[in-house]
Amino acid sequence: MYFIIAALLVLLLLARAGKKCPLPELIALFLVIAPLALRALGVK
Amino acid sequence: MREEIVIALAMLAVLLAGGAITKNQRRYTPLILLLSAIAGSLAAGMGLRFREIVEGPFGFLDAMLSVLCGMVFLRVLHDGGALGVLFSRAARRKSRGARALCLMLFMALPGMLSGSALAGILISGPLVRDELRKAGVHENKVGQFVVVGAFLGMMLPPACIPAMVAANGAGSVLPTPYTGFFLPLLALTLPAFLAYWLLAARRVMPPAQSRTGQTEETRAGTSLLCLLPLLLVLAAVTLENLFPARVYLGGMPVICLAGSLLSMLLPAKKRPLRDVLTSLSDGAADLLLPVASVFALGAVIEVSSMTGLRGLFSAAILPYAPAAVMLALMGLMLPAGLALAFPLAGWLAAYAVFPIGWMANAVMVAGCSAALGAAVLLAPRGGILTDARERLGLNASWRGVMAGAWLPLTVLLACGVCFVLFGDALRILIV
Repeated sequence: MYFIIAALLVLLLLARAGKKCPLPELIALFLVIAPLALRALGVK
Repeated sequence: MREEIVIALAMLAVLLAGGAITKNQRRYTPLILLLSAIAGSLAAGMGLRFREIVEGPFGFLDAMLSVLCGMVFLRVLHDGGALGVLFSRAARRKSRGARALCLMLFMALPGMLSGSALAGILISGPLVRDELRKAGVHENKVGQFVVVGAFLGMMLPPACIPAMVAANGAGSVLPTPYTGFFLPLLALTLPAFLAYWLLAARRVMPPAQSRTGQTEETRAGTSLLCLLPLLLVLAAVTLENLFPARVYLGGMPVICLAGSLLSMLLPAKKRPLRDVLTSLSDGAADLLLPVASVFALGAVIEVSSMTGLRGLFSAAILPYAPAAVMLALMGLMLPAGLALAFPLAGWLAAYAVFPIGWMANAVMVAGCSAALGAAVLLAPRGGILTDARERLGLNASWRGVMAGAWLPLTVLLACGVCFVLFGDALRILIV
């Protein structure tokens, strides 16, 4: 179940990444998306 | 000088320099923490150790899922108008005491469900600020009420980011799960909540007649059915945390997402699907910076373990009682919060809980988290007050806010110290 939730959150956050995003926020976005995506893919 | 100390100094130097250059702006906190982890890795002569830098955040992953899902639920609830309906009911109370209590609960609610004070400021803050301003309350007191309400919400269960950070620090290799914290956090924060309620009812809340108007939702006379998702989520989370052996409803992320779905079906005001989807996305992104900061802190903790700093710390504290070490580091967290807000205090919190080891007593961990919460509240820059100023346009001074915040802060810290000292006797709180 948590894999699906992580995938959902990644999609929701990626929807934000399309908007204009300053570099510090972009780094924060990457920092949050990376572990969630790995969890969604079942790597961790 | 030992190599581990040089590495620690290199990491600390990056945190201090980063904080000074960026003036502790929240948006740079994750970046500074990440650079500190990289600096530690390089200073140890290990190069860019991506494995540890990536591995660290995983210790917080499950806890942060709860935080993000809680915020998605709150955003859907707020944008759908349900929280406006709840607010209009809360602000309608005639007696100052009842109104102060209702508004404090309203201010704390987002922090309780998401674990972050920023959630309280973003979700409840605008409504409470406008209500108090309309009633002619001084700007410093408006700021004080909003900041303290958001802070107490962050510390109240079920979700509490400072406790999640502290819980993670207890594990030496494996992160300690964030479970069994419901009653310890409730017992820790309730006295501070009650203390501030008594203060706010007398000194912040204006008399009922000075209120100038009702909110839009009250006038519209909206159905209370839109509050059903909130009631169900609160009931489900409470039952699951109070009776973990008997009730399992999928954990907070599942409960909050189910609540979000139900809230989309029962909105206070009808909205196009596109707006509903935007609310979901906004909810996930609202707490981007606090969650990214916690993940980056995970990288810092992992690198400090990899480079031997944690081993040196373990050897150094051997002659001392764990409670003494915890109290000393809790004491250090307060000036660390004043100087750098979250980064250094968070790092210290992870080390403060380390002496009690893996599967640590949740009462002691909760006690320790009080100091981390206090550090974020005390920070003149980069803490809760900065969020309130930036996101709500509040013109409150640090002194003005602290003039009322000192009482809940002192009560919370006193409870935290008692929890650390008498954690074993208070084990009955762990369910």
